[in-house]
Amino acid sequence: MKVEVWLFSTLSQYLPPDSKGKKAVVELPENATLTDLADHLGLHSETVTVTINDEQAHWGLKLEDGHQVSFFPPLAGG
Amino acid sequence: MSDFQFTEEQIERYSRHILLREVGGEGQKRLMKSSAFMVGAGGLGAPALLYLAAAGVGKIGIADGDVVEISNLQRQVIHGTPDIGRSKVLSAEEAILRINPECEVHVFPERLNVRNARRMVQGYDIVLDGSDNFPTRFLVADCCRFEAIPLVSAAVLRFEGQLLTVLPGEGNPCYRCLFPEPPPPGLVPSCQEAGVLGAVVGVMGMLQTVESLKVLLGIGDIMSHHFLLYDALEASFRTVKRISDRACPLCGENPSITELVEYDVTCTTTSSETS
Repeated sequence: MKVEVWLFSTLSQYLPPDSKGKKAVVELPENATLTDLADHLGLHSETVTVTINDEQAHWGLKLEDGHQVSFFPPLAGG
Repeated sequence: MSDFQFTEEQIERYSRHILLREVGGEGQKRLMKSSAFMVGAGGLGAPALLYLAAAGVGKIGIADGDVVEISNLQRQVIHGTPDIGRSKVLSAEEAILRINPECEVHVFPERLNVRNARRMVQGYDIVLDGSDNFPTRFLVADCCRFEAIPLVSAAVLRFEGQLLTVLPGEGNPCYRCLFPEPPPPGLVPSCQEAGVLGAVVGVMGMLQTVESLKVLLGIGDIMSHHFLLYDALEASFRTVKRISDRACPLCGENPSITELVEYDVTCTTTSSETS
C-alpha cells in the first residue's frame, strides 16, 4: 500500500531522498502500522505527534492505502 | 454585565467592536472586566499585548525576565530602539498604556518557575503562552490545567507556526494530550539557534490574540479540539483534530503529573525567555 507522508518543521530531515517540500509517498507492506512507518523513515521519538487524515492518532494504528499521515514536533519559539 | 455605563470616550474608542453583533456593548463591557496573562513579552507577546490593550481588556499581566536586545527588534515590535537594555515588561507596559491608559497592567520581571507560576496566573481569565523554551511551555500548560484557566498557546520556528487552545475541564484535550513530553535535545532548535521570519511571529501572535478574545467574549468556535499549523513558505494553514489521550500524563486516567515539573532549561534549549 501507499501512504502520503508529511513531515513538518525539523522533521523534514527524515523525508526520503528526492522528496519535494514536506511530503513523500511511501510504499509499505499490508497491515503496516504507524510505528512501522516511523521505523521506515528512521523517525524514533515518542515526543513527535502524528495524525492520520488530519486527526490525531495513536502509534499502534494500522495504516490503509491512501492514508495521509503527518508527523510534527512541538515548537517552542516565541 | 451592565453594572457600569460607558463614558462617551469609551463608546467612541470601542465603537468598531460595539458595532459587531457578536460583541456589542455587553461584549465590550465583558472585555473591559476581563483579565489576560501573557507569558513572555517577545515576538508573540508584542502584537498580542498591543491588541489586547487596544481591545480594552481590563487587566493584563506580563511575565518576562529579559531585557530588550537589539536582536529582538526584528520582530518584537512592542519595543523600540530606545528600549534596548530596559526590562521587557516595563517597556511593554509603557507601550500598552500609550495605547490604552485605562488598562491595568501588572508586570513580573522574572521567568516562570515551579514556585511562582501558579501564584502569578491565579485569578486571570486566560493565559497566553508566548515563551520560547520547552520547560516554560510545559510549566505553563500544567499550571493552567491545575488552576483551571484557559490557555492559548502559540509557537514559531523559521517559517512555521503552531496554535492551540486548551480549555479546562473533562473532555477537553490538554497540551500534553498532544505533546506528552518535551522533545529530546537537538530535535527542535530554538529561534535563537534556527532563526524565524519576524512577520511569522506576528501572524501567530495575532491569531493567538483573536482566539483569546473569542474565549473571553464566549463567541465563535474555539480551537479547543483542533491544532493549527501555519507554513508561510507554502502559504498554507492546516487544521488537525486533537483528541483526549486516556494515557495522558497530565489529564489521563492515571496521571503521573500531579504537581508542577521543573525541567532543566539547558536540557531542551539554549535560548532565553523569549526569542
